[in-house]
Amino acid sequence: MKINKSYSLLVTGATLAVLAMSSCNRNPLSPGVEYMPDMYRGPALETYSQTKLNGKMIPTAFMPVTGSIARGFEPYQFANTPEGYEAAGASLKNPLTDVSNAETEGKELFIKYCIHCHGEKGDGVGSIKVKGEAFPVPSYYDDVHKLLPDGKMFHTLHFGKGLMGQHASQLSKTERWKLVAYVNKLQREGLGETGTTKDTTKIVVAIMPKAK
Amino acid sequence: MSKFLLVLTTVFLSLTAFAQDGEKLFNANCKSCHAPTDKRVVGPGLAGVEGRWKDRALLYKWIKNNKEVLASGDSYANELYNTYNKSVMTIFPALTDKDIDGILKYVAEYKAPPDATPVATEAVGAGNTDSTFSTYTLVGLGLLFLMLMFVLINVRKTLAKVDATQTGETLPTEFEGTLGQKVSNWISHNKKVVAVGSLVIIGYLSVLGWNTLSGIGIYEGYQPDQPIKFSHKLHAGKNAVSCIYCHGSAERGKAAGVPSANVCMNCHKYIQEGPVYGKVEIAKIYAALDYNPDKQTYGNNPKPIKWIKVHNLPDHVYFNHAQHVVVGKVECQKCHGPVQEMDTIRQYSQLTMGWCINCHRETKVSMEGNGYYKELHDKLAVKYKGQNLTVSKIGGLECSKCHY
Repeated sequence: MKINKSYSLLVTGATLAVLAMSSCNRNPLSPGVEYMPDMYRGPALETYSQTKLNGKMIPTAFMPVTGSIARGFEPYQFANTPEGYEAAGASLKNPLTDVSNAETEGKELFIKYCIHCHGEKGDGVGSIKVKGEAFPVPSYYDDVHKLLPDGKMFHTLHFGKGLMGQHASQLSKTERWKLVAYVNKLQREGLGETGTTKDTTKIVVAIMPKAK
Repeated sequence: MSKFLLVLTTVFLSLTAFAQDGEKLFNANCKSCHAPTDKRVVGPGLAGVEGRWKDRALLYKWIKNNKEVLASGDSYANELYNTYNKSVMTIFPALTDKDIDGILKYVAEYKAPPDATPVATEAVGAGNTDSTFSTYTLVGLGLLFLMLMFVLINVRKTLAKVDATQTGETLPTEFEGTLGQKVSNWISHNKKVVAVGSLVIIGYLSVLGWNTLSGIGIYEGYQPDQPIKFSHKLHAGKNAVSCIYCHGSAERGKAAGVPSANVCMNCHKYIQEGPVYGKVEIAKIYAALDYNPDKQTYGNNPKPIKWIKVHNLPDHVYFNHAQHVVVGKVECQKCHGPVQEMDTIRQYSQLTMGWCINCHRETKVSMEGNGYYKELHDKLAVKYKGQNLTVSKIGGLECSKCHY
């Protein structure tokens, strides 16, 4: 009887020991064992890595050669100055003709790129809180911004203004115009058709049916 | 009469505007560049601004059209202009003196709201400390138990000796011989212990071997320390910034991309202090950009941030984010897990071929709302009538889709 008891104790202990030893987690700081690392890390340069050039480690992401022009690049005719801002506001028109499509796609872009600062309705209360306070973002409906012409909105998206950074690196020209169209829609919905005295030649106002 | 009424209303309106619209006017016109405190945003903080301008009329003029004041050669105005990186203030010709009075009144009476309870500090950034717990603790505990066993055995022996000398019994004679003979003698007398012990060792080695072999090349759970303690939990979770805002190339190309530091600066130009690490971690972005947050100027010596790549596919596999995110409409979290709850990013999925194939077998293809492929989609609907049209049915299992 005594032998049986110690035997069962030993077996239990052994099982526990195996379980304990094998339950060791992998080290999260190490990627783990690789079979043939050269299959994972080929000689071709990867983005965001380093390589040795003339005995010096350099990042593989080079700055483009000075004077390079990106494919599909379109020059922007206004300078990043207050004069440029005014000029853009006076002369730029939204080139997108399919307004309802621009607004639908603009809304998707707005949710991804704008909503966290400007808020769902564009009232300047976004999800980003700084020490409990919302980001100091002006509302689309205040006296200055409800009259903002399309060109100024586009200019601001291109270069940034005040605290807002430039978004030309994140959004293409077409996408920026889609956003402008959607912001107009927000303003129309927020203020009503008569609330804004924006230039009525703007396609958005001219084509869209009256918002509720 | 109507003219008189109009004038009356205008006067009335402008009077009320003075009282209540200071805040409104400030928020509409000033807030995005000036704080009502002494904090610098883009331009100087406005606390005490009335004291800084000796001439109130000049202050009105400055706010309405700063360019005229600058052109007039006023020394204080030009000093301001140069201190603040020659960034030009918008002109506000529409503001009246009354409006400006309202704004100044609002600024003068502004009291910062008491610091909101730092809700963000709780768990953000606090995780990941117990990850190496198990291994080291287990080894330590094992050693402790071995020592305890050794001590107890010795105590027992000594007690037996003492007992024997007191009662006059003779102890069983110790086995004489070489070490090898001693060991084989011990084994032949403790067969059960040896059997169980070998079972433990064999069991452990098999489990270890199995785990090691099946884990080769699988990074699941990889969670390296990054050069900046960036928390997805804070950014994507609490502040609800969309994944695409920073990883926009997931919609445009093969790689999801690491955002360049100018994207960080879209918010961190203003937010210079985080809820967990204060200024330390955000200062690393500034260092990478060679940016001076006090003067708000960029230097000429930027250094790249050496982020550590977590998700890595072998060189012989082609994977395209845009294909999955835009066309397949796969949620980021489907493969990357609950990133919005992770402080340090961790590889959630195995990213093995079996894992890819499984998903291709299970995921149904949506054929709605894509007129361009209508003809093909109609054909497929006929061909696979009554079956689920999964990715595997449209070539998602073909070798050359991913290996070429």
